[in-house]
Amino acid sequence: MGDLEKLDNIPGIVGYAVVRADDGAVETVKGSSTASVGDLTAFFSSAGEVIRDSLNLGDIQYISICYGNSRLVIFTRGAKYLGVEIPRETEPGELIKKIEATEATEPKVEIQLPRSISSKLQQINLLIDEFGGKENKNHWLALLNQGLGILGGDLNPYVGNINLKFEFKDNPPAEKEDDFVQALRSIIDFLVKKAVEEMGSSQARAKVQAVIEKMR
Amino acid sequence: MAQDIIKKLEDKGLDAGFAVNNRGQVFCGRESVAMQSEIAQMATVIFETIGAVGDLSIDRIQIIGGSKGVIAEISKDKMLGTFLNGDDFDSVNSIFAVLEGLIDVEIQGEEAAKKPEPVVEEIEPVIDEVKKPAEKPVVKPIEKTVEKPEVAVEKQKVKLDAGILDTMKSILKDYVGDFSERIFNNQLKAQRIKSEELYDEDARRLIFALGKAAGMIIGPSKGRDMTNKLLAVLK
Repeated sequence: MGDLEKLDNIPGIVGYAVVRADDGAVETVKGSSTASVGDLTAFFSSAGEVIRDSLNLGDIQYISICYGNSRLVIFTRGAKYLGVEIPRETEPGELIKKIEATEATEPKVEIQLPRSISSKLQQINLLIDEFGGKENKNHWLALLNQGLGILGGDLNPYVGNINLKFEFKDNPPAEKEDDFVQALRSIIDFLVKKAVEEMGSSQARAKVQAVIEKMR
Repeated sequence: MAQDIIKKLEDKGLDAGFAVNNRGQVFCGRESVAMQSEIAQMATVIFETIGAVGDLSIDRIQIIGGSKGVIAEISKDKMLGTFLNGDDFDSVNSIFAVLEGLIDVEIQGEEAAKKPEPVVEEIEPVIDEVKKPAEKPVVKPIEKTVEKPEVAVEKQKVKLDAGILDTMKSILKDYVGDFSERIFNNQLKAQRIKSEELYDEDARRLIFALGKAAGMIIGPSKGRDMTNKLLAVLK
């Protein structure tokens, strides 16, 4: 399998899991999906193998399952199954082509964000740095993903954690700007609420204040 | 009725269509009839797998192989699908549109005689294969006893007044405050619920999704408390 990190850069991917084909063990789960993409990939890849053999379907190109507004596309990469959650309306073939193209070349999409969005993005990254420091950053990135899962909505296919930083993978559509700003604002509130719970209100307030200072 | 659905599929050129009702009976089109027992096995594996993953409402599956594939619409323990050849792969969406329009029609079991008798015996080894812990230890929940599709008469869907959503939103707000609007709208969209056409099963699905989401903010025990309050609204 190519570098998994490349998946983090592909617009439209909400989350993904890597499962070993030989024993079904879940190796990696990433992203803001609220469904258990690891278990889903393990279960349905196993079921798909049984069905493939029973119906003589030949080598599986992909398995796709739809639930709610989401789609999980499962396909093999070497000795592993990759399960990728995308919006339901995205075609599985389109996703696989995107991934193959990314594996072949390094895509470089120039991201241009409106100020309303870029300032919120910066604020979130500063809050994560401030709350987590170097030692606890992954915990705060996990909390960020949790917040995205319940509050992000349409924002989720556009964003991801790339090299330990919360970033946009694609340019947001202009008509979604207000909604995305609202989503990011909610996520900031969510992170601050978590900080209050974890470190108490006075310490959380001091850290939020430090972020405000940095943004001036 | 199931044969009517198969006939409708054939009229649309889907001669390899199939339907599986909530009693596990299989009905086939002229090109899929030879695969009747394999379809029954597939349906059992899919329903068992869906059961194993829990409360996720999976309504569509595609398994695309080298030159053949199978796709199906799923509604609870009913399934309506068709086999595809390579030429059909580009038409998957239009085929799904046909299947989606028919899946909610009751797949009656009046032609019980059409149910292939040896199916259960044939299914068991397949299920055993999925269950093998040595091969897939992760697939643990499938180790549950194989439950046959319920023989009970299917429960009727009950349409609810859309006003119930406002009541639910108000309860959600009591628990999560300003987060309520986004959580509510996101879950409504994520669960593909149309407020103007709200059924009891949609509302239940929404409630559990809201409870799970709220639990991430207010903690699991308050989340459960809220879920119970929301469920009480349905009574």
